[in-house]
Amino acid sequence: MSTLTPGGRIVLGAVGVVLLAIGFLGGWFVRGRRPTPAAALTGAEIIRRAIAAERETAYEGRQRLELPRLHGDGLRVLEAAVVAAPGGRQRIQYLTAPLKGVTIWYDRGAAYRYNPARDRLTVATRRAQPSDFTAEEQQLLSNYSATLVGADTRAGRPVWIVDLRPLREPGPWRRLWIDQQRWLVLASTQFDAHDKKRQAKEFLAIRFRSAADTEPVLFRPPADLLRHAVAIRPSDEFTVPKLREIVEFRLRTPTYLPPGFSLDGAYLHPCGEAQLLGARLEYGDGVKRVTLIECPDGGSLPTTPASAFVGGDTVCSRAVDGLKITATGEVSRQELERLLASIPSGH
Amino acid sequence: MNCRQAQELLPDYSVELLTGPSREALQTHLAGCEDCRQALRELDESLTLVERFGGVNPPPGLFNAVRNEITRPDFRQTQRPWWWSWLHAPSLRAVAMTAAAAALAFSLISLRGGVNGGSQPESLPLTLSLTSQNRSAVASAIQQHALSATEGPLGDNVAWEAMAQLAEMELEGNSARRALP
Repeated sequence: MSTLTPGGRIVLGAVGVVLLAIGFLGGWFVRGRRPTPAAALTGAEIIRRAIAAERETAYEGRQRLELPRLHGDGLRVLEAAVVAAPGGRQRIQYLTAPLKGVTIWYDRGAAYRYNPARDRLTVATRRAQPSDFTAEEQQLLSNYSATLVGADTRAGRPVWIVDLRPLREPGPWRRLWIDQQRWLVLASTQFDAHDKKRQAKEFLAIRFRSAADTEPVLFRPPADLLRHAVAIRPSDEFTVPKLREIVEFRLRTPTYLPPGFSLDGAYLHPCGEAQLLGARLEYGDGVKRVTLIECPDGGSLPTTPASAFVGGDTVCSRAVDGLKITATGEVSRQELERLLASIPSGH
Repeated sequence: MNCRQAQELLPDYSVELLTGPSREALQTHLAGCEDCRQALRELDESLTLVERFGGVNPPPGLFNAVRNEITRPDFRQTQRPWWWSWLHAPSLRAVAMTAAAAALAFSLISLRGGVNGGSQPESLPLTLSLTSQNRSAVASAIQQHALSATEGPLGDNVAWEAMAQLAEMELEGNSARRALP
């Protein structure tokens, strides 16, 4: 450097100033476009944004799923193509056996499920109302701690990693990978209380679309399929007292619920091949659910809860005064049996 | 041999590491000393607890760290706090070891979820026999549960819809099996 002429020093200095200016301007530009810095976010805020994004984001993508087998150990891997539009509208096409060709459409008020192997389309009303989401969000954040644990990349996009763990006691929990710019859950894994993976999903690829770019026709089955809908499964929601009036047996409710759980809804349920009129009660804590089905065909079941482990969850049954009561959900066997045992017998 | 000398040898004696004249001298002392026999019993109980709940591997580097600390030039000159000699009284050593072993055992039980249930009930035998009728009821419950879960707030509906479809296939398989002559 000592051999530089005064002119050369000036040129070198000018180059340095220009490089500094470019660096400063580049940093300013990138800062304006980059995701919200982690310091400004909490896990709970990310979860709030993810819940809203779930219903309002338009995209198309390919998901890889890992699901528990109904019988036996291990997880089954499936892939699905998903298109979504604001208002919770969605079309899901499964791409791999044994569900290859199965297509689900969510329109604003109905869910259509078509299985080409049986050439059958079923239609069910959807429960979701905007007010439900607020209540679910509040319930979720009052029962779970949402902790931002890091950042990563999923489907080529930067994501926040958030752990949802039960606040009251150790139990099943979830890890979510949430898009840093669009807030959609790009991957999630459910673990049991002993950190064993029980279910997972991940977008392998995703392309976000504008709301105007989605065509309504995508979210309803073609007209020829609709004409041949062979099974209608309405799921009108009742209050428990109203459901008690409808079913022809004394509806029982458990006196014990797992911590944080409350009644989500009460519905009619077709029982067995004879389609006897039964009842279904749904309980939830904002993330996990328990389904309780009461059918007027107690059969030879024992009166104390009997359990089987099927599809990654415990299924628990008992007979109460001639009723068959079955419960399943993402809670421990101990909780499920305690819930079932708390159902009173006698008139 | 006095009680202090005897109790210093008890740990080695309890795991059969003490041999020769020391072993004989200790056995002679134990024969006539109820306090030392009691200390030996407590030591044996502690070791039994540790054996029952399994060993715990020390973290990597612990051995070297301890050895480095012991061989540090100024280690022997370090001032001992006032309670050091009290803690090292032979009669208290067995009590301290028992307490430590009990704490370790309790931690192991807690980690395995055995105190408040945890995983313990999951290991009980499953009692719902999956007859064809029960299989249908079970598949129906799983299907219904999966369909309800599709309404959840965190976007796992694609997985839950698949689960519901798989349960429906199971249901139809059961119906077909029952229809066979």
